[in-house]
Amino acid sequence: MIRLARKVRVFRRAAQTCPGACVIGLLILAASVTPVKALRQTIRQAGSAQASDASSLSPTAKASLDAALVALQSNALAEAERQARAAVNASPRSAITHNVLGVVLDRSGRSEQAFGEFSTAIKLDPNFVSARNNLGRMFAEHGKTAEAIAEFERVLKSDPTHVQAHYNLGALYSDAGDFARAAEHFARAREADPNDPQLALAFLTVAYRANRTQQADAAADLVERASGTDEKSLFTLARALAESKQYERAARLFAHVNELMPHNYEVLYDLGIALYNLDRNAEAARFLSEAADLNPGPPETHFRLALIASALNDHANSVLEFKHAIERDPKSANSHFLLAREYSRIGYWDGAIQENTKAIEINPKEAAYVYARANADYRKGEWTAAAADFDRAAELDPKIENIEYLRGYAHRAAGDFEKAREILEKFVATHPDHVDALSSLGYVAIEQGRLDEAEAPLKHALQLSPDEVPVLYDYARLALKRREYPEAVARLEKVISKLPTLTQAHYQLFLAYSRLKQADKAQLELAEFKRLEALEKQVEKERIIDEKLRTQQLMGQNP
Amino acid sequence: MSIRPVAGFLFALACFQVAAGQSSAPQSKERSHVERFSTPEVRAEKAEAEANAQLAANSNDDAALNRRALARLRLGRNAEAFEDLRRAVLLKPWNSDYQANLGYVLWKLGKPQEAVSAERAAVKLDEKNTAAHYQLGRFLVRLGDGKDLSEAIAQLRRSLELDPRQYDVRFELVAAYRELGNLAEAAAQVDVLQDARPTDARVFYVTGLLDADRHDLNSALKNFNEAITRDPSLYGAWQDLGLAYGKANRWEDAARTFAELAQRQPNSIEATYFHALALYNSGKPAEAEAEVRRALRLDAGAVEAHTLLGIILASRGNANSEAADALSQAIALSPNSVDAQFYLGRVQYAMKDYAGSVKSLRAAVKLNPGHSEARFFLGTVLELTGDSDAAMTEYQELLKRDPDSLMGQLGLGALLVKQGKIDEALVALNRAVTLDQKEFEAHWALGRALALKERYAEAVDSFQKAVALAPTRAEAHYQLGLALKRLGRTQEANREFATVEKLNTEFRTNNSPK
Repeated sequence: MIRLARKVRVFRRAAQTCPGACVIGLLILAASVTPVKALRQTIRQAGSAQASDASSLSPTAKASLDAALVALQSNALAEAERQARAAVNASPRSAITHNVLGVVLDRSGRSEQAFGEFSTAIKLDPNFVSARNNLGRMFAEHGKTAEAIAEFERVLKSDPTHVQAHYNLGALYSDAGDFARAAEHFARAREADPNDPQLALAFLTVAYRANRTQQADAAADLVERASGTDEKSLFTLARALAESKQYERAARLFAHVNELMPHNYEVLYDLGIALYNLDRNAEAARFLSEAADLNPGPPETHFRLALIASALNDHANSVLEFKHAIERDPKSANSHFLLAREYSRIGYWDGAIQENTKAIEINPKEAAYVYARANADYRKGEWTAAAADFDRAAELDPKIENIEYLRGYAHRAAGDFEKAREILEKFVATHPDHVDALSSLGYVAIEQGRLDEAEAPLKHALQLSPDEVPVLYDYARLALKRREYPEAVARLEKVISKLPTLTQAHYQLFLAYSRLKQADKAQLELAEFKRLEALEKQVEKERIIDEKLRTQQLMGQNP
Repeated sequence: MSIRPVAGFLFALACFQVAAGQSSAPQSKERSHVERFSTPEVRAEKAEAEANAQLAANSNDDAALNRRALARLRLGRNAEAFEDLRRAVLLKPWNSDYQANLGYVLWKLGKPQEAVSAERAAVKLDEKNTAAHYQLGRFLVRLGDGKDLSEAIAQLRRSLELDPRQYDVRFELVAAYRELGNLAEAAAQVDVLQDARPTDARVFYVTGLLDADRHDLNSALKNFNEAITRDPSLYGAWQDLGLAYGKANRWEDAARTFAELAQRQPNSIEATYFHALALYNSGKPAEAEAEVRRALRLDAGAVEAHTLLGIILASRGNANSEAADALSQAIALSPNSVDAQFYLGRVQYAMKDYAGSVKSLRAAVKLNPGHSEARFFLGTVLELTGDSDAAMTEYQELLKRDPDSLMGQLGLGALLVKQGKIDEALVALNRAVTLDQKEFEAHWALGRALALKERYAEAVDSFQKAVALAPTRAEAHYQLGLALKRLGRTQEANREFATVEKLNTEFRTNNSPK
């Protein structure tokens, strides 16, 4: 059986309101985002590591370097470059001057030249950790993760307590999904300043995933305390918690942010999603519906509302919201597929077939869509279409549970008995105790007039499940076809004792009694057959009216 | 125990239907998300506030009174809702909707007859009032008077004719047809529901109920399980699942099911009671006792819980006095409780209070003349009080009701032995062992009768069967030993006497295997 994952986490990354959503990226860029402070620190670190290098700077180089840093602080990048180049010219063998020039070039967006300057700095002083750190950061930014990791590891060889290297390694390992290592590096980074909320935030995002829950909780406490009533910080923390599946706490924080900053789409959306993940659907709907009213654009809000409505058995709203999601993102096969599922839930098979068809058009290779359409075809009574779809679903994913049986059954229903026989025989060879398949095999044999061959599968099915009415019924029909009327009567009486409302069994019993010349009993069965048949016709009539009304409601009315 | 009809959840749904069905007008423009997704309570609060404003402007605004009543109903403030509707009806007595809603609130206030009258009045005022037909039908089904079922069905059908999309009406029809035993019509309604609501948990639930009616427990279990998987808040399905497990003698599964239900509904006396019952029947008397005591804390007047506590305590063997007290309380609460009377009789018998036991067992038999176990016990206790004639009457009554009654044949045979009517006794006891070859008492009594007729070889055969069935019964070994001795099989006899000695020693030193 194909099942949809119940929860599909859809967390929108919205940089404009979420400085924390890109925690990793931001921290990798830390050196260039806060250049002056960082560079002063870098220089200080470098100075302390290579005192001779710092002291070897000429007075001209020192003056230019200071001027470059001041210019960089005020974002006067051209001036900063001029001064940094002057410093390099004055002290061309100084790693520090090349490093500073590299930072200026990097800030100016000239990555390749920056690479060159950092590399030169490292050649001049292989133990210059700040240059290595900057080089590693640039590798990371250019997607060269292995090279970046190697650089940061080299930094740590020279300075095992280097905060930024630990930090950056934590970020890179986190990106690679190695949360245990990431947590270890972030933890080492935090040793320098255990009360730094930014470091704590980075740590907790990976620590939860590395099952260091207690430490992660402590870090979250710290960040929450440090955030006070700053809604952006709280929001960032809440998002980090939600991404770490700490929905309870995330929901509480999102709710707090919502009080501080009401009617904000992002906050409402994330609060709704956190509540949804906590199975608090009614509350989730409250916030998501406000989000959707505030900003009807994003399809995922409607998609999520549709899922919630579906979970609450609110079919009308579910259908409407899936439609809204599709209007905004018509290429979402999943939305079509789930709308089809919703139609199936309310027995609107035409709609289900139509939407599954759209999903298949978008993604023809997805077995789940084809399988779902096959089911809808089947329920609609479109046997041939169902058989074709089950065949296709089996091609796409042969591991769908019992798919071969379903194929066989659909071909049986479509009247293609030879194909059904071929499929079912193969299936039974590997599933010798599958009652339904045995039953179908017996049925097909009866329909093909292979009466002797029908006996064995039906008998075996009855040994496995003696009370299975469809099997008992076919077993009775077999006796009737073989003109074994007393046996047929006995078997049919048994069927009727188990399911007195099985209309066709009364008809078969009428036939059997007639053959046995038991007119009174035959007439009684015929009367019962007619009574039940009339009832069935009435039900059929009501079913048609009902389907018509349902279709009208779905096509023409809003809930 | 019986499988109950669909109950509570339909009731709640109906409430929604009344409120929604009559307060909202068709709207062409799509409502906002907040409106569409707000809970019924939030909508009701809003509706009440709006109605309040309208009534502040005009206190005789009947439509506002009606709307406010519906809102208040949703908020559970039934008395206030009643007051609003009463006023609305006074203002416009010819309005069928107001009458129908008044009927609904009367029902909620526990005034079923007045509710039915109000719905009848609503139907009279407007023959096309869908809700009135529906509610009238529903109330009549729930009142459970067999003679009203046909009318109930007619009302429900009329409601469906007026609006075929009311699936809740079909659920009610299923319940009504089941009450009437018309499974074909019930199944027909389920067919429509299966088509229209193929994934609705309630459809699986009612399908399971029909399966249970047909005694197809496997299908019933499958459908009840499906229902609770799809909607775990379907408490009726949980309960019926547990009961079906009980019927299938799968008490451990029943206990697990009721444990879950009791956890979900910690204050439900029914869930707690059934949990205790299932625990007891699955061989966990200590846990059952704790749970049934919890049930009594929830409702000190729960007859079934007192009875079960009495049974559990009696089974302990060392708490007969408390057991008698619990069972007496059950009888005080409900003198017509057959189980309480029967088990009290048994406990009194164990406490050697034969007079009390006869009284209780007589009461049980009077309440349920077909309760053969109670009648057999009554006969046994009457024998102990020396009233052999009365005992004989009871055994004969057992056989009159069922000539194949093991208890009847056994009681009769054993009493005839006592009365020295051995030939007659042999007929009854031979019949008894034929009826159940695994019944110790039958073989033992037959052996005694045969020994009295000096047919020792046959007696040995009967006693050997008896000791094989109950190897720790010293008296059987003793009688076997005597019979063997009479046959000159001294060595074998001595072995039996040694067994008697061993069993008696173990009994005295309380070392007998448990």
